[in-house]
Amino acid sequence: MTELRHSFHDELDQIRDTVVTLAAHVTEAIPRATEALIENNLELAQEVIRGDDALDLLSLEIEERCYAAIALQQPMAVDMRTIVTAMKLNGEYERSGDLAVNICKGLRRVYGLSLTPTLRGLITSMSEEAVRLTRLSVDAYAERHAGLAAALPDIDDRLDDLQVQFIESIFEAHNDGQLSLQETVQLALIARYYERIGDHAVNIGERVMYMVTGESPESVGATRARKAAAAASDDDTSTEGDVIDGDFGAETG
Amino acid sequence: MLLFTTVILALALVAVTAVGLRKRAEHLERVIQLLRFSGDDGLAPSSVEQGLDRLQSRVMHPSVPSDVSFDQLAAAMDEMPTGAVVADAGGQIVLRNRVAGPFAGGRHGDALVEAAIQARLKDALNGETTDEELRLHGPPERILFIVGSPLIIEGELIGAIALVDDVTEQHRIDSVRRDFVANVSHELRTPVGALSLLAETLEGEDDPEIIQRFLGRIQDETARLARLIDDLLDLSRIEGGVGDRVEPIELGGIIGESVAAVREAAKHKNISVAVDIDAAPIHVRGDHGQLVSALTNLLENAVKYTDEGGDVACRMVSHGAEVAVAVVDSGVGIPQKDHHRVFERFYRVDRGRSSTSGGTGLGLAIVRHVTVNHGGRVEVISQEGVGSTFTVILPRDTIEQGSELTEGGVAHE
Repeated sequence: MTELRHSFHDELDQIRDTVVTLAAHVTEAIPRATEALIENNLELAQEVIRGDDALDLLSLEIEERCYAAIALQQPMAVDMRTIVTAMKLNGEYERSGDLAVNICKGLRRVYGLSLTPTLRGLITSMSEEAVRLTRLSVDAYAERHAGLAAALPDIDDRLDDLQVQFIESIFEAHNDGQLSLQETVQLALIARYYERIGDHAVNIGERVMYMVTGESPESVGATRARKAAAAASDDDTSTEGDVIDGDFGAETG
Repeated sequence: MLLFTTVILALALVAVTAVGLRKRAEHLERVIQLLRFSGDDGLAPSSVEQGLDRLQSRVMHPSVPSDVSFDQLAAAMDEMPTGAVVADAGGQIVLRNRVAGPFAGGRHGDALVEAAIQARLKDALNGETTDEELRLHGPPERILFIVGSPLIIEGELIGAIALVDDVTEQHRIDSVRRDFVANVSHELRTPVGALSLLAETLEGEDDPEIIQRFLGRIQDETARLARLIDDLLDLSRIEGGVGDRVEPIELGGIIGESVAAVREAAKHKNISVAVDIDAAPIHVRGDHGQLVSALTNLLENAVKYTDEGGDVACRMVSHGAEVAVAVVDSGVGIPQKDHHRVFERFYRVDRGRSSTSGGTGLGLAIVRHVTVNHGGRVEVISQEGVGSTFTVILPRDTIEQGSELTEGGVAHE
């Protein structure tokens, strides 16, 4: 039995390593997409788009390994949270990879557009922030660092600010006749893709906090809903509470 | 590097032997022969393939006895600058040297290197030698060359090895060499080409107004060539060091002279040039002319690449034994990827801009050489659309200076 558990924990480590590898692919895809966009490089854009297939394959592998681990080992408590978190993170990172692809597809729609130094500078800054947040989310996950995970929303504020600056700049350029409406819309969408990558990193931070503490980000809202339901119902509230509390053996919450 | 590669291949083979395949221990002595680095011709292997062939050949023809232990060989592999990971025939990792250690369970770029190592080992265990170049944006930005090779003894596959070489510096040097030729040709050809075309057009031209205009252009292009030659001569002189012209220099005076040199150009573009320096005089030891040349180059660039109505500032701050002079502008900025290359001779961030900027492409190379001559360094922080800050950091003169020197300096602005 001890041998089996040992093997199970090896499997958990391997799942974690694969999630980390998936995230590493994403953190490389973001600056590559940015380079393609700034340098009007369709060939590089195509490489990033093609590279997403490898991310999808890795994502599928993680999912299947998680299902197998649950089915074969019936994990509880922190082990269960670890697997559930890996599955959640898998989706978040895979989506971030898709957003890098979207940036490349955005380039195709504005191909040939010469960006002003200000816009290029803001795009570079958004890209750097998106990479930084994604890297920090990986660090928080790999180190099971709840403090770092909790800090991600604040760190994300800078990316949000940059997006606002970028939107203001492109609207200004549009008003000055430097950008067409189509180009303005496409650039606004591209800025949104970077901002969404930051949001995914924040989501990952929340899932990491859940893995470490057992407190899910929805706990506060769920507690409120539970209280409201209890107040509205006059009978048998304790039974309902027991069902809802089945939180995979979480130590808290 | 090939020598190391060969040694690693040899050691890896021994590693596989020592950990699980006792019956092959006798092959250890054969591998040691490879540590001599030479083939029958007495020369080191010229390629990885040749190294592998020699390894195989030596294994097949043992000649030198040895009592080297696995631990000794593993310790030797740890000293290699190349990352090495050895797997047995079943794919189990049996040895990973110090350089390759961080890749296992690593994050970010290291995780991708590990994935590439595993892929190469998989191919090698299928009998194929494969390689790939992995470009990582980082940070840090790296280019790694990864090769996987099968380890075969007497026709039997006993394992595989993956080698990881960091070729970042090699690539950087290659691109500097390649771009230098292209850039210098461009800088020389542009004015010469323009002069040729203008002269050709003038030949059949009778309109005095057009002739006058073209003569003006010829003068401009000639001046540009003259500037280029002057800068080349300056650079050549500066590359020779500071010689015996070293003297205690009050830095405020250097800043004052340099700012005065660009004041007119700045006024022409309605650019304000602010100066912010310590009240107390700060001295460095060096060549007065070189320091003025370096700072003037930085200020000229700042004015040149800042739009009309923008701001340029020159700030001096003293930190312990060093003094930093920063030239800050609100100009077009420099893309991140060019930051480490702007000090190369003739390097242009935007080659298309070279004909309009009026520069020679040598200014920042001069700045770098001057600062190095003075035992200092120059750093750049820049963001496109926001501006750039070039900071020259110099060691302060440790000998207390008399008051007569500061009195001779240019008044602080």
